Amino acid sequence: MKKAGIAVVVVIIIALIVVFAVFQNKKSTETTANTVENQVSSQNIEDVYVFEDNGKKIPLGAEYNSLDLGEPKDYYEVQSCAFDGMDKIYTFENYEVHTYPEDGTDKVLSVYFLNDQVATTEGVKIGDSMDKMVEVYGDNYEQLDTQYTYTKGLTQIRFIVEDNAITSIEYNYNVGVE
Amino acid sequence: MKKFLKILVVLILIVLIFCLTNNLLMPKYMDSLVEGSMISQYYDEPKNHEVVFIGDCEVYANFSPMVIYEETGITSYVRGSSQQLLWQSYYILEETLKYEKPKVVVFNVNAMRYDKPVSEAYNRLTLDRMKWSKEKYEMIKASMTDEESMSSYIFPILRYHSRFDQLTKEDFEYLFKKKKNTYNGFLINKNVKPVESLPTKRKLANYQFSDITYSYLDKITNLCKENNIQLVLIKAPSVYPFWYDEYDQQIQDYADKNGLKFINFLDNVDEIGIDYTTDTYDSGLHLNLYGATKLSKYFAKILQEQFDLTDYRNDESVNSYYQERLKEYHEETGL
Repeated sequence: MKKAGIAVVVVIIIALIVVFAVFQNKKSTETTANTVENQVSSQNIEDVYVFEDNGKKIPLGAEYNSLDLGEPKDYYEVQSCAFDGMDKIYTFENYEVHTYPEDGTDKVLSVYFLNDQVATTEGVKIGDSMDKMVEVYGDNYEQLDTQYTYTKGLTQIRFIVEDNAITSIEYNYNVGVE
Repeated sequence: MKKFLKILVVLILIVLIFCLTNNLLMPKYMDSLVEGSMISQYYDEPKNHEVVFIGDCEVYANFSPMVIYEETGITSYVRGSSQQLLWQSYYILEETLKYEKPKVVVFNVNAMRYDKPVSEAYNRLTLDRMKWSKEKYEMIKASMTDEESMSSYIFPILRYHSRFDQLTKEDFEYLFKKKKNTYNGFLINKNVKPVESLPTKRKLANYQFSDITYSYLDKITNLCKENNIQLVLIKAPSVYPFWYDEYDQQIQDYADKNGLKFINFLDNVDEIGIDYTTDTYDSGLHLNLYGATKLSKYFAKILQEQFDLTDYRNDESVNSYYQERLKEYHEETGL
């Protein structure tokens, strides 16, 4: 009888562990999904950085095919970290657009400047001084060595500054995919 | 007593049904996403490898132990997995040493650039089918992304319960059996996708490898020293993602400081004979079968000439197994 009692207790403990683990797992998944969903849907144009080239807006996270950017000069693709498609890199004359796959479509992950013939929407380009960067974007940046990052919502502009001159500019969409 | 037996039977049934459901729902990695089966295939292999490779896809796609054996009689195994991170390589090496003690461990340093887990999907490919052990537990702890939980690894049903309506023939066919998808850890890919262009080599804010990756590289180095194993650091000849000169210098410095050999195969592409218009299946990220064959022959010669390794071709107990596998390998590859 005592042994039977122990067996029942063991079954109850196992059941409780499973129920607890299921609950924890579900909660964690829902929290993550909600966070990402809310962040994406709550974005509006004032809350994010948007790159604009000759009047064509390239919002980060937007579906690439909806942007009508024309024929790229070059194209490269690699298997995505998330498996469900390819990370794609479209090279235009003055910048590269990197995309990541989501729900069967390609979304803009980053825009990387290739030269000083293109400027951010706010007018900063490669070769400008750090003073100009601070004048335009302020001093509310995050610094990692030579990199200065400004964040708005899920979007970022990253400048690399060497000897007081900007040597690299990149718009980035923060979805945890590098 | 009778009541106790009844409860015991019910208890056993519950556990059996739980285990069966668990196994049914877990991906089998046999016909699709075969990369997920590679870590576990090692357990069924004879443990007589004098060389063990550890690292990411740059080892399992680029080095063929069958070619190395055929060229030199040296036995080797690739314990690689997709996006294998530093801490994963360390724990896989620790686990390997419980089964056998190789003379040489070859570690591909590409993962030094990653100082945190990249994605759950990659973790699953490495961890799902690994045998339970202290090393697996520690590896899960070190590898989990913020969204993952230890419980979902202990009870995979928590992660895969939604696969109920996605089960395929593969899930039932391989419920109780496995098949070999690799040749000693080498995954064959015969496709050809040439390198036609490469994206711009981006400037990085910081080229310094992180403390965490160095700490695990130290652990790998020390584990090899403690076990009298020669550690060789390599960089496979993948042209993308870019391997920066600053990365290379750090590894060379580390190798010099610790008395290790470091070979960056990107420096020897012409000597190896790699042609990126024919020898890669994905525009330069990995070599295909033809590129891997060239690289394996090249590295086999280095192993033969520079390390004290055994030619097992005259040892029937080992050779018979390799001859059998080589026959299958030649049939499958057509080489």
